[in-house]
Amino acid sequence: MNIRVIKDFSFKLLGYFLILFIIAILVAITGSIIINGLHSITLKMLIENGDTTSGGIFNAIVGTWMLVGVGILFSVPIGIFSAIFIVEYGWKRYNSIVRVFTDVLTSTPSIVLGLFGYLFLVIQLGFGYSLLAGGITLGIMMLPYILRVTEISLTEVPTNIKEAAISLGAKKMDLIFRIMLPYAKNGIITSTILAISIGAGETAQLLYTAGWNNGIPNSLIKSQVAYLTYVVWAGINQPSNYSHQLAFASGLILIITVFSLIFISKYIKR
Amino acid sequence: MSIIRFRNYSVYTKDRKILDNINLEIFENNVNTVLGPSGSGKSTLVRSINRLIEITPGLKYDGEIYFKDKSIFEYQPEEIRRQIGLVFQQPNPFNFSIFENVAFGPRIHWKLKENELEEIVKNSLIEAALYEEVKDNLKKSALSLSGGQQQRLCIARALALKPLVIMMDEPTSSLDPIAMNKIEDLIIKLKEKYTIILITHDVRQAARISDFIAFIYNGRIIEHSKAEEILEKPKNEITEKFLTDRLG
Repeated sequence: MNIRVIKDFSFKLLGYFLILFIIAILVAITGSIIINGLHSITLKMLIENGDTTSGGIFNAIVGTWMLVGVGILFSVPIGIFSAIFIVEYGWKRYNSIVRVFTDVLTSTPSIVLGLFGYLFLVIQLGFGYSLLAGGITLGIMMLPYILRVTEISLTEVPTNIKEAAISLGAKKMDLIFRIMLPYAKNGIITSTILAISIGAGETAQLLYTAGWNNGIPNSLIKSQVAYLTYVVWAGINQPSNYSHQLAFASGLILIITVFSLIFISKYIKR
Repeated sequence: MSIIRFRNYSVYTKDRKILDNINLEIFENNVNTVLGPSGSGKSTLVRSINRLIEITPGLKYDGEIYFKDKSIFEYQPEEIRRQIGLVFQQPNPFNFSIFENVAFGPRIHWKLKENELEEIVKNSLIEAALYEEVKDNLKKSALSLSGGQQQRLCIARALALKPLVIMMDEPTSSLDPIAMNKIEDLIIKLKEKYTIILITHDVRQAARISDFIAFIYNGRIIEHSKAEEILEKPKNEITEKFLTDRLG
């Protein structure tokens, strides 16, 4: 065998090995969470409120969706309208600047965003640990994803379709609301789902802004919120076996949520 | 009677003229054909009339175009585009239902009751000779239609705005011969009620359906007269060469 064949073969082997390695990590993570989760989870946990050492995780499940909901309500309108301005109102030339901002925002560590949320929303605006503080902080993190994908979807509306609408006498508003947004609908929905799944899995920024609640928050501000990632984080640090079970159950719920959201968004893309 | 008049109208980019000092009359209730090779400025001519040129980056223009004896620049662009419809080379229906495609224009221009809208959609589809083929499927996606049907849908979409002029920019160039025949028959029928401006590079098509032909070459109108005159005895040798080359 000559040296090139050996090189080629070993490179291929290395490739297979690395791919197997990646798959193994993924299987190990999800597998351990799913197995442990299935052993730990009980129906009672899903319908009872709890405090990470006793009870269930109903309050954390509801709280997570409430936080994500506020985040979506904050980020989707801002993201969509900013994207419209960039694409349709000649802001395209500032695109590189906007891109730098969104990139910086995407790569800002979430703990730093949490710090900002704490200083500005919790303290300065006096929201306290609350839905609004936690949700908006999540929303700030979701914003670049929504903005970017919406902008790309709007840019991809074919010119001949836009010209057809303009030739029928469509004004700018007609063009945006009756043609471009319907055409970009799938992109917007996909990016929103992606943002939900990212938001649902966040911890660091919520530690500073959402707090914890043994029940369901009764107000947008000054009422703390429970969330699933907190149960994972706090539960695993407790000495009791039951806390560990709650943590694994929360992990399972999170993984199922995120996986199903990803599958839904893949389905919509097609 | 002329309904549209070009007076010393030019369009240019930074380094070349696309339309050079156009003077042209478009006659009411006739098929006015603009004939010429590709790249001669035909599309720019119709895009000037409905003021798409103004929103195309990098183009400048001067001179005048009159529509019903008033400068097109004195109208609201949306009003000009309502009264002068444009059908594109590639059928470009919206990704909506057949009904919503035709209803799009009326919806944005007028406040209509649902039954008035249905009436307009139906009549427009009848006028565009498409109604019989789609009447049971108005809710179906327009993209499920064949190319020829899509093009007639685009014509119906323009007709729904009750225009005076319909411009068609090589409307059959992406269609098969049968679909092409249908569109040509339709054009002949439509001229009773509307003024037609037809853009084509196909001499045979021009001969089949035109009343007047303007021959355009390198952004200039070389010759403009009744169809028979220009086809039988062209005055200019460029026109003659083009016609004989194309007819073989």
